[in-house]
Amino acid sequence: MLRIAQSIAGLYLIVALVVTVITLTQGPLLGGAPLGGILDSAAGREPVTISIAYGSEKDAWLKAAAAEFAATKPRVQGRPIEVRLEPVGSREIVTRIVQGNLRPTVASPASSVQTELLRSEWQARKNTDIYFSGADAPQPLVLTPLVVVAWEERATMLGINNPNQLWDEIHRLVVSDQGWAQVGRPEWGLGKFGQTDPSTSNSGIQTLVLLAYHYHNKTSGLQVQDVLNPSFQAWLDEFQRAVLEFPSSTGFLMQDVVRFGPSKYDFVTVYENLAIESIETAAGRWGPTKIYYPANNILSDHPYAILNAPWVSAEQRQAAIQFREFLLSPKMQELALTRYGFRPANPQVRLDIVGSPFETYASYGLQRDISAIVETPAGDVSRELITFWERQNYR
Amino acid sequence: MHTMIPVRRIPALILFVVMLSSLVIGCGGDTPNGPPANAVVVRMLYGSEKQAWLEAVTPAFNAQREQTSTGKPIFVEAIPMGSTESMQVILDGREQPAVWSPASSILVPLANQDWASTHGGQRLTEDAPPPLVLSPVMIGMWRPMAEALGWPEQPIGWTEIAELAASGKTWADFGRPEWGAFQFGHTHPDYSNSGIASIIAITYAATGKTRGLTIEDVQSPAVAELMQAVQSGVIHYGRSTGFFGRQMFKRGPGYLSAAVLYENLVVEAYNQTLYPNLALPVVAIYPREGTFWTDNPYAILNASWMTDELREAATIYRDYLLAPEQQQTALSLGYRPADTSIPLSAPLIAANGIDPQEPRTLLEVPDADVIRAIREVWGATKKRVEVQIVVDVSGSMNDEGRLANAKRALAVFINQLDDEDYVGIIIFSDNATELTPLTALGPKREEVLSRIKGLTALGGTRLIDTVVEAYQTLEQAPAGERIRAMVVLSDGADNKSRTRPEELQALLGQDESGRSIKLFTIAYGSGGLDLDLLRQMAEVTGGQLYKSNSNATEIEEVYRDIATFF
Repeated sequence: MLRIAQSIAGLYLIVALVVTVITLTQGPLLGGAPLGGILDSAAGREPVTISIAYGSEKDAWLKAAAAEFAATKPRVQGRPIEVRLEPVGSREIVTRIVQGNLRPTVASPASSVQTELLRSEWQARKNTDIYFSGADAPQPLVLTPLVVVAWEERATMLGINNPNQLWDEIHRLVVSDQGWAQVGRPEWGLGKFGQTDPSTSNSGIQTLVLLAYHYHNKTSGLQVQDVLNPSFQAWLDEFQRAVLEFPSSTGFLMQDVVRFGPSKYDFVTVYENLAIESIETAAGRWGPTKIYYPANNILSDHPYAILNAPWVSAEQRQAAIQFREFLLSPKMQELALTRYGFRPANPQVRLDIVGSPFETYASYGLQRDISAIVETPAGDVSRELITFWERQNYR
Repeated sequence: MHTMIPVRRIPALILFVVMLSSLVIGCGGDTPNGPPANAVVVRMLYGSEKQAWLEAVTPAFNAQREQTSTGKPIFVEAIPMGSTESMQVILDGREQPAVWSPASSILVPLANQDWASTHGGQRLTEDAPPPLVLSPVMIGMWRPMAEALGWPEQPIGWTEIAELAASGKTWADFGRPEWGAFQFGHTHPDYSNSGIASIIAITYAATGKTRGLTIEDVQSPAVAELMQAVQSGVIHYGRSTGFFGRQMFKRGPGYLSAAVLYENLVVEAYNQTLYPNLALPVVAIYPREGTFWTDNPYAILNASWMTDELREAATIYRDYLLAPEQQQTALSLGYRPADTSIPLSAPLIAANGIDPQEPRTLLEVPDADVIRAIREVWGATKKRVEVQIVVDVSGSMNDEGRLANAKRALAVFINQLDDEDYVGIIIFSDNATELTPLTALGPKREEVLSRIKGLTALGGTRLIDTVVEAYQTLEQAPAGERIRAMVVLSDGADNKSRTRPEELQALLGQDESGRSIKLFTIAYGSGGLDLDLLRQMAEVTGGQLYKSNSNATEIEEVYRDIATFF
């Protein structure tokens, strides 16, 4: 009997000890805040939390960078900074902020096409600028151009060797009733183009912008009337009809390219960094695969836009600046390049550093130099492209 | 409880698993493999083509006892079913699963459109649910037959297969008389994804298009003409694509020349444990005009019975299926992993009859309305059946309400047949009586139904002689024009026949071709059955044995399953 009582007492002690240790380190088992939190708030050091709504393309890089940032124990006015990451589709960032159901400290969509759309839509509603000017104006974090990924055999067969003719060659293929039979390869079927849904994905709009600039043979000053031009709309329509499916994000599109290969896509527009990430596996599944650059490109500049909005406090603005400086530091920029295939926005970091994909993947057609960049169109021009696309009901 | 245990082949196995799962639900955790108390049960209906994979990985998930954020254990009930069928049972409210994973995303817009029309515009699921594993729809063919058609130099497409099936040519026209007629198979479009894929592909072949198919295209006479011609070469339909593959690989080139299958089944043909005596090597023909993928979308449903907890549990299971280890298992079973980081390697190699760099192009998935129009053309041109129904009315059929339940099930079966189908009914006890001769069902449907209602049970079991007589009537019908089948129900051992079992076997086994008369036998009730005899009768013809308890639902389900072959 005594032995049983001793055992029960011993067990009780062990359980009590375990509960105490868990409570001290993780917080009580039933409700309440951990001890660390209580001590922090007691000393008036509640964290300044900033939320970053960003396009999912840079998800992996931002997560890695935010973890390193937290490890430096950053503070603003003596209070710890807490970064909350919210991956949202680039296009969704704009629509949800305008609708009022997303209130981040920082908006960082894939491209300033989106931040410009947000600026014009906010201006129209609130009659104020949603961004700060001067040093705190939106700044690019990393850069990535739009590239065309294709199966080398097919691209060669079509004679794609001049970037100036890339779009025309693809257009010639996709409008033909003969498809690949016109170059003697009937088994490849009709020409198939791939891009994302421009109403949800930034690279989808960028593709339409590049096609519009190409059709009108210019690199700046794209106007609403250019988009409304009936012969341009007919030409664009032919392109869009050759798309079997419009994935909602560029990441999904690139995965689809690897999964379904040339059966579903002959030529696709994706971000360069996603092409870098998947080109080897695509080639592994389907044979030689290459990256092609249109003569005039468009950059996703991943702007880091601190919002000049009523819900952003002065401390949050300060904390957001600190995080931005950390992201632009050479170490984080090198990480973006070597691990995730982004081009650094910080000019101190070169593209030919050790471990750069521009060295490793040169044989896949990856190029350091981009010949020309088109001007980002004003928000109303992009809006008109999306409206045209949605009206045609391609989905 | 449920004891219907169909004895052989995969569709039977599927039914078994369905029954087993409902048994698990019924018992609510009392069985050792059932869900633990207060579990969040994720019920998933999925296309049976990925059964091998899901059965390999799901028990391990359940054993892991994953938990939701609220701390409840997660338990998955994964139920294989024909893909189209799984859509139907969700749409008509018979099933309320958390997850639906048909073979192909072809069905997703169809389901969403239907659901929206009865649920105030709400969609059943998101438009593009993520794929789990991939496999192209292709034509499985014996390599020497493909070579006789000029393959691989001469690409083969849906058009060539359709024209060959329609031409009435035999292998003698290609210098190989020993292979007999060109015998072709695809599944029933109302139950199976590859059946839908087949009839869409035939429609494309008839129009010469590979995308942009319209309802006007579908209604052109050329489509009906080619569709009918192709259907004339079909040996029977069925609810499972795997069934065709397995029949073909087991029975050899004299039985089926080609069937619309999934690539993973061709890989499976080279599994020597499953097929130690594969007659000839099999190859995957990727149709030159293009084909479809099965992408096995994992669709978490957006329906009134879904809770946040259930949605979370479904997401955790999805992530498990997409994790590298499970994806690698899928590869080892012949599926192409959806995880793009996994390179394609053995067994996805040329030595197993496939080409991992195919398909080169796709057919466009038509709009829901166009697919419906294609289904109508198929319905009007499908191969008709000539079926002799043989029913035991011996005295023991009075036990356990057997006859009453069989009569109801038989009426359901009759109602699944078309007016143009030929139906004969023979009942037997001490003697055999022809209830109705083998003639078109349309004009006599009501009369047949009323005569079934009036059946009574009395006397002995003259099974074998009756089967012989019914078989001989059916034999007089020309081979190939219609699907010829017998559906034989018996609840006891023969005690009245003069023909010996060996003689019966010899008669049934004389025609080894795919166009032979198929016997579907039902071992009914728990009395003194001659299970071996019923099994042999079915197996020797390429049909199937079913075992059913006297229970009304079970016997009805058996007759429904048999109807999918027609």
